Amino acid sequence: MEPKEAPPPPPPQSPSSTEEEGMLSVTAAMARDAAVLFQSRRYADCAEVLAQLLLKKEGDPKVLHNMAIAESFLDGCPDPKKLLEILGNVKRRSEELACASRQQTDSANGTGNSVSSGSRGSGIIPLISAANNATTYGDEFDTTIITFNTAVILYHLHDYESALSILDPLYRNIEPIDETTALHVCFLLLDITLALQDASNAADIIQYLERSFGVVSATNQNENANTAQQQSAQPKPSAKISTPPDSDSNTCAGGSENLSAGNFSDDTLEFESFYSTLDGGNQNLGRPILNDFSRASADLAATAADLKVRLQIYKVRLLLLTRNLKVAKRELKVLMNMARGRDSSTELLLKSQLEYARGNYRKAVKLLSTPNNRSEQAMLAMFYNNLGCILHQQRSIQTSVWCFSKALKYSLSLRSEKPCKLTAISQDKSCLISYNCGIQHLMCGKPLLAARCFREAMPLLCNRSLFWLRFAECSLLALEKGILTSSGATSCNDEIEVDVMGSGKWRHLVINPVKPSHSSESGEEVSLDKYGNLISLRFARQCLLNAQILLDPSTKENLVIASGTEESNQTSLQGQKGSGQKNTTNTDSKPPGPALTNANGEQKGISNLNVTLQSSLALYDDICRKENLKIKQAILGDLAFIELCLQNHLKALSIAKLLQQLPECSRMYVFLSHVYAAEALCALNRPKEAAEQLTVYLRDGDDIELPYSIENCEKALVEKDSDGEDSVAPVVTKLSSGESQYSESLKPEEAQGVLYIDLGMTAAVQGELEQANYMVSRGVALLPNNPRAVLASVYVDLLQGKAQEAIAKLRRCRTVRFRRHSVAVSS
Amino acid sequence: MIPFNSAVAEDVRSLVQGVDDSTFDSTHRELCQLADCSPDGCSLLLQVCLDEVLLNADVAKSSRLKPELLSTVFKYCLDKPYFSTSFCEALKTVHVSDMFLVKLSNELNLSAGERVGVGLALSDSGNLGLITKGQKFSIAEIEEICANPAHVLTNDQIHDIVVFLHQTDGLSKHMDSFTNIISLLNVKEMPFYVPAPIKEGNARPTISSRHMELYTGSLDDDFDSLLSEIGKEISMADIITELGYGCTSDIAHCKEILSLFEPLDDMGISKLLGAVVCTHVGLGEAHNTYSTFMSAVGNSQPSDSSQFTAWNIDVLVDSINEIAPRTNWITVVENLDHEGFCIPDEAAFCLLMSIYSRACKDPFPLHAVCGSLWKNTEGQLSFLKHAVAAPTDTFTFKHCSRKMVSLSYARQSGLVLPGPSRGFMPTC
Repeated sequence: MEPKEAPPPPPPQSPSSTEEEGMLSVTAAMARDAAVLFQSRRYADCAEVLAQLLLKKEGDPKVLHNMAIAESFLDGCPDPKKLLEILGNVKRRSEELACASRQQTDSANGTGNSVSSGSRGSGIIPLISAANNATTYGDEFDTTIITFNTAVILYHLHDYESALSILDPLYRNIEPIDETTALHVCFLLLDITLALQDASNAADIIQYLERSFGVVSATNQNENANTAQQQSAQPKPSAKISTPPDSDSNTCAGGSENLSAGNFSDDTLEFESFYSTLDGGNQNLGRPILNDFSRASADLAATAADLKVRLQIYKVRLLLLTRNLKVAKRELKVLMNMARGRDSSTELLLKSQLEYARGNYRKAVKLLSTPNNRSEQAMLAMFYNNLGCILHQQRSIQTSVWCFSKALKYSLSLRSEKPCKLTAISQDKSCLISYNCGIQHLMCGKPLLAARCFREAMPLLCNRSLFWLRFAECSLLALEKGILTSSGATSCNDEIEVDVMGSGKWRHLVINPVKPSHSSESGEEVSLDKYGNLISLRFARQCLLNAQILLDPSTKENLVIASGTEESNQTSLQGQKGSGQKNTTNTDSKPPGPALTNANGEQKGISNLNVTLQSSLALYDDICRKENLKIKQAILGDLAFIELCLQNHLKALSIAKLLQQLPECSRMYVFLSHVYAAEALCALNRPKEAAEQLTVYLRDGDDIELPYSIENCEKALVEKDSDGEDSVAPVVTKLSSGESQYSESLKPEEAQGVLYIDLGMTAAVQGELEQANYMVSRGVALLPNNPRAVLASVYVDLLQGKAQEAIAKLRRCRTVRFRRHSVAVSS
Repeated sequence: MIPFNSAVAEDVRSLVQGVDDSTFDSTHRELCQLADCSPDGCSLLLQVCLDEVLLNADVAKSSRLKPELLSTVFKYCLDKPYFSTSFCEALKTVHVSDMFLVKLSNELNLSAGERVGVGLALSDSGNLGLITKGQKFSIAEIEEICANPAHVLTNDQIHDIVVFLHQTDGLSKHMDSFTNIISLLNVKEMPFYVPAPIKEGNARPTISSRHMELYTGSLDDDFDSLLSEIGKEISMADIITELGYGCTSDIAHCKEILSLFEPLDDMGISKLLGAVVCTHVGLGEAHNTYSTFMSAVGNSQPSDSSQFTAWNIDVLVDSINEIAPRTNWITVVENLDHEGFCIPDEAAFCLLMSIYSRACKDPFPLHAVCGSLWKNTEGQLSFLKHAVAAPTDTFTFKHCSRKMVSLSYARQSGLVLPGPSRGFMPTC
């Protein structure tokens, strides 16, 4: 760790008792020993020293905090929940002590005797101004570090939302915090916001770091000077923490900072690049390996360089997230130059991800296939996961499934040891890989396996709207494949069954438009056993409602983010002022010429980066808005379909109307909404309103226009490919043939035929037989092999009393199967 | 959909009014069947319930079992996914006062969760007054639940309440209360998830606790069984056809790919042969996948696979024999009866025969294709169709043990058959 910046000269001490002085010296020395042991990674010894220290300062929150941290490092933090509880308790005790200390300070201001009494009781240095400053400084520092550590643990547990909610207030009040801790807060916050794909917040943090980076450099230079002086004064310094030994609270605060923030967040994390979800593009999860950072105290020049490299890595990741590939490529080149001569596995992974985003899969694979990526379980899991994503983009679904199963196997091996350590949880990407597996199985037409994969991915992705949409699609796919049956879903039959009963002149034909089968409950029991509740229409409905709820706050959160941006801008302004002041101070000690040049260069760089980031954010916001619109359409379309299957026609009707009112709704979904609304209205015995829903496509002369064109279909396909997303395919309409959901959607002419058939049936219900006959004939002409069209035509013929023509049509249809029964027809 | 006529309603009404100990069960079953058959049946049933509960509640002749029957039947309807549609239809002929829902719920002894369900069912009515009354009723019941968490709610009811609170403006106060008591409710089934609002402050420990419970709740056994299921579903044949003809560019590459799926069993090899035979043309576009896969997984540099336009049968068979030397090719042929197997044309048939002749010196096992009826009858027919048309150097029935019997039979029947050198279908 970096040695702390030299504190101000210690204030002059007042006379105090020898006993008190001895006590402070002993505890300070023990705290210093504990800090040294921790930095040397001798956690067991560190814990012992802290235990002894605790005996002398019973209940001290700082010692308790450091003890918990040391013990968690000792055995890899097997119980993160317990550690979180300890941190919570320590924070509360710190706050209580802060209040008590302030009261004592107020008393100390009153009388000299009170000062003396207070110092003996709480160990606070018996100087009015010194005591006050020490209390404020220590408490602020202490709470900051505890909060940071809590966020780190939550980050490791993949609970990014909670970590963000805890860390964000810290970031918004970042000025009073020590610079080293502030850097850690910013870097952790960057990891969290990138994991959440929160591009605007990540950009704000990067800009803040850019502005304060000069400060960091200047500070490092100062520290370098201090270190040189110390080395000249003491050839072998015994301690790296240059703190006056008699400042006990300062020592503990410094020790806490070293024990918790730096080592914990740096050493236990490794960089991994995952194309973790196939939806919404790529994202990086995990944190970069920066072991050099922990040795920065030995090489301050390397410290500055590493900070630059790290910041550059975050920039590239942000640009990849916002899909600003041109600028990402440029910045990645800068990064490669910075990292020359060092371990460049991180840079190679980022480059592989860049090529993946650009569609250069062959190049991406070559970059991916470096020996480093096959050296350990976590890297192998990442490697196969990324390979699976690439093969998915090349439409090799089976091979992709194989890769994801390999990735899942390697990732699960991290869980083999028990109890599961925090680092293992952090590196465990099983939930994400399981989600990718689920997507592949959906595309293979295996809804049961897909649902089980999504079930395992739920802990991590339960706050994603798209995840719940996928989960619901498992049930829809099962319905389409006949695994799941619904008494109301007559559209799922691909065959018409005609029973022949009686013989001779008593022969009758009985048409069964609904295939005889068991109810959905027994169907589930037969084929789904204990995972039955993952595949059902009611569960699909719940999934879609979850998706809808999670999607709607996104719009509200945009407003929140906007206000957050404003606040962040204010913070940036303050930071800029502080930066200016410090720069002025530094200029005094340097030749004015080079300083001015440097300042100008930095200013230009910052301005340029701001413009780039702003444009990236605007582009990314547009991409997100379009994606959310697609998801919303799919959610409403699927939800209307499911309500029709469940025969909840009022609900289906209201949802279909919602879909129609959606701004910028695609023409395909508008078509589906009209068809669904018409069907619901027919079921509610409102055929005239049903006809009105369909006649929006009626032109003069009873000709129906195409509800959408080939370009609409092709446009959707192109968008899918360019976005690298899974298809959000339109749901099969109940009155159309049961096409596979993941094959081509209905062709425009087929949609036109569906409209003709529906209008014809509506007219038939209203008794307009001539109109019905005309419409149905046009529909059959467009859909000659569609069983529903044939049934509609037969129905109209029967209404008109043309039984022989109806039978002839049934015979000509390839999907009709005649079955002979020996049962006599009753009544 | 043809609505029920009034006679049915009268029948239902008389059933309800005349219920007693001896007819309770049968009446209950009949009424439930009526609710099952369609939303219209459910609607009619609800109408009768409403009439009996509200309009004829004080009739002296009513049976003492009628309230119980009505309550049971109403709750049964409440569980139907189309309850809201049926309930709104049933209310069209009823004047709904402000106290209507309260009275109805009290008469039917509905639980707190069921009451919320009744209120929510009105949200899709076209009548704005009904919607408002339903919302007020639901909110009042939710407040009651928050004040007294001892109520028993099902997962569906909890989910419905949370969705309602999310979708209705101005109910964030209730959302907080209800979220706090969700943990007190007994949730048994998995997976169960209710989206909770994310915000700072007091909600923080709740979120963290729930997240960790979800996370640690994912047992390793689930993942292990999932991996096992996925492994069963992975098909070597499908993957190799995806990778394309480059897989058989040479023995080294072919062995490298086949070794990824070790151990090779006869069923896997059989499916692979079926896939290879079906795709002897048309896989020209797969070279991208092959080069991607090999450059990532393979140990040696792949050659330009775009030049390969067909399977190299010799490489394939030799590679299989080296990796799985104990392959029983008779069993492989027997396992050709699998889903998806098909001989699309004569070239495919010749290819299959070439594979077999290189793999095994024994005569082709005729019993495998002629001895029994396959499950995949279309596949079997496609094989036999090309077998009878093939020249004798490709396929022959000479070694069929039943040939003499057929000849004897033919001679006795007086039929004139082609010469014995010609292969023909034996009468099996």
